[in-house]
Amino acid sequence: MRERSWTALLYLAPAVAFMGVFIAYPMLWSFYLSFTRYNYVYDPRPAWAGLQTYRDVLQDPVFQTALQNQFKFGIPFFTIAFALSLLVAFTLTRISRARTPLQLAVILPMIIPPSLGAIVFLWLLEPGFGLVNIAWRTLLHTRPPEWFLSPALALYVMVPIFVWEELAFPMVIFLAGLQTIPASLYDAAKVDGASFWGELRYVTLPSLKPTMVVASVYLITQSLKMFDLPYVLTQGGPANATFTLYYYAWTRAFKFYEMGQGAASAYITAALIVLFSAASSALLSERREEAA
Amino acid sequence: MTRAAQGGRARRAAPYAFLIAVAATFVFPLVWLLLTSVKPEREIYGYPITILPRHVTLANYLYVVTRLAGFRRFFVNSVVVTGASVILILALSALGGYPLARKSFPGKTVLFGFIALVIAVPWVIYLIPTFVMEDALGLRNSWLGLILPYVALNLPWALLIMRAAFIAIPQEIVDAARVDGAGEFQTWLRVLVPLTIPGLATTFLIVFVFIWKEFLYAVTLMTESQWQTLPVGIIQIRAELQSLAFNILSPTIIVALLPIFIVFLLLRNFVMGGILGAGGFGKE
Repeated sequence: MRERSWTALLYLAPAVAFMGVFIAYPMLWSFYLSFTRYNYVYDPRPAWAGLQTYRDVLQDPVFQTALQNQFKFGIPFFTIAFALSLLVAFTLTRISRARTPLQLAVILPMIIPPSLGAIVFLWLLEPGFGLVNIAWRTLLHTRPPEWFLSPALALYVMVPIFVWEELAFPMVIFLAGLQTIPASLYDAAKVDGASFWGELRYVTLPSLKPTMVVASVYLITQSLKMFDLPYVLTQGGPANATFTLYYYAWTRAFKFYEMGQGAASAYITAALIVLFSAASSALLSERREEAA
Repeated sequence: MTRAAQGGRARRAAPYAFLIAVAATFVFPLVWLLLTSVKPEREIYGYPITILPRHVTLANYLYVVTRLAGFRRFFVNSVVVTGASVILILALSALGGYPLARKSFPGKTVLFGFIALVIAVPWVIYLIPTFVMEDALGLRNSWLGLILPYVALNLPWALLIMRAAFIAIPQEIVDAARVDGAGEFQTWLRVLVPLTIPGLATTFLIVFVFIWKEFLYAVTLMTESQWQTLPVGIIQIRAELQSLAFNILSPTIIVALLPIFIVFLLLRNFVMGGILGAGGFGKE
């Protein structure tokens, strides 16, 4: 039985105070700032500018490049991370030996600070002595590409690195999702004479739909929040080719001290996160109705 | 051997082959980092390349630990900031998780709202006002300047995990303690909290990892090198050393990862539950 009491609030008060001061209050203040002109170095206080701040951001060519980059990066990242995490989780349920070490190996990058992981990849791709480039020269007898110096390539080099960093969470929830599918469903499919592929098509994948929603929302959110990799690897370059929306918002606020524009672009990013998350869950649940 | 038997063996071997390939690819960058860190400089930057070190040396480590004063400072900062934040989060989530689990008031909706805010909202939204606030209060470039926001940002999932831990306790245990005449706080401290130790372990693992690796707040609020934590400080070291510095950088990264590896190995039984709990899927 749950009991009512006022002392309950005393237990929660310190936690609520922390979250109020550093989450709720800043969120509201940022929302106000996103409608102001506020250069932290020159302006004594924010000046109301209305929607002009959003207009300034949307018309900034760097923002537009960042928005395009977000799609160029996000689509391959999402596709690879979604498919690979599902495949790894599925194959993990099909084996009996060495499951724990194989699973831990895939989870491992999750505990590495992304900025330090980025340095490891810088070392592997170092022009003269990086292992990848040495292997490339030895095996292909041609000059390897200049990974992070090439505007056409730099953004795509970050895709496998980010997959390496982010695969653990979707993999673990797919694994949990697979383990909650009742054995009776598989038994019923066997009675109906379903093949391996039939089982996959009519039992496993439909049962995973709710998990797929969670995994896709997570992956969309993470790709729209990518910051550490462009900061460490390229500082948004070459020629703005690796500017992400998040990195753009950060540079507006903390390199140029345009706090209003920083807040406005951060809110645009948040709106895109909500929009794409809602779209992906709607898409997945629609398919479920079709299948039913 | 019949063809069918061969086919069966291939089908059973295929998942292993795939998983071993993925696992090897995922671990390889760290193995290469470790190998680099124990090679002498002339092997790191020499032709032809050596995969396994011909001479194993700890000279790089010795240099980093004894001569690189900045690195020691970064390590201390990481330990203090992470340690203090984790202790505060454990205490506050053990307190707050109790009423969330066992009392009736409209806190659940609020909590799930906060979790959604922290997971989905780009942290730079909170960071901009936090920067202005901390600048006004003189908290930038201080341990407290990181500890306070870290506690707030990691509390939502800590509260969720601790709430699940308190829900799992049978009501009879609480009733028995009450019959023995224990007050509410005494019951919480002496009877309930010891029963939530698995929940506390999961919370510890998750928030330790999140705070140890945090970059965005640290790089923005700690602009003076003496206050930087390892994920930011090592980037600073790299910037100062310019390009060919991996004989120095590789041991700094390995040392920076050691505490996280130790926590991960000690609490490996809580890893799966922790990842699920942190994502907002704590069991009811």
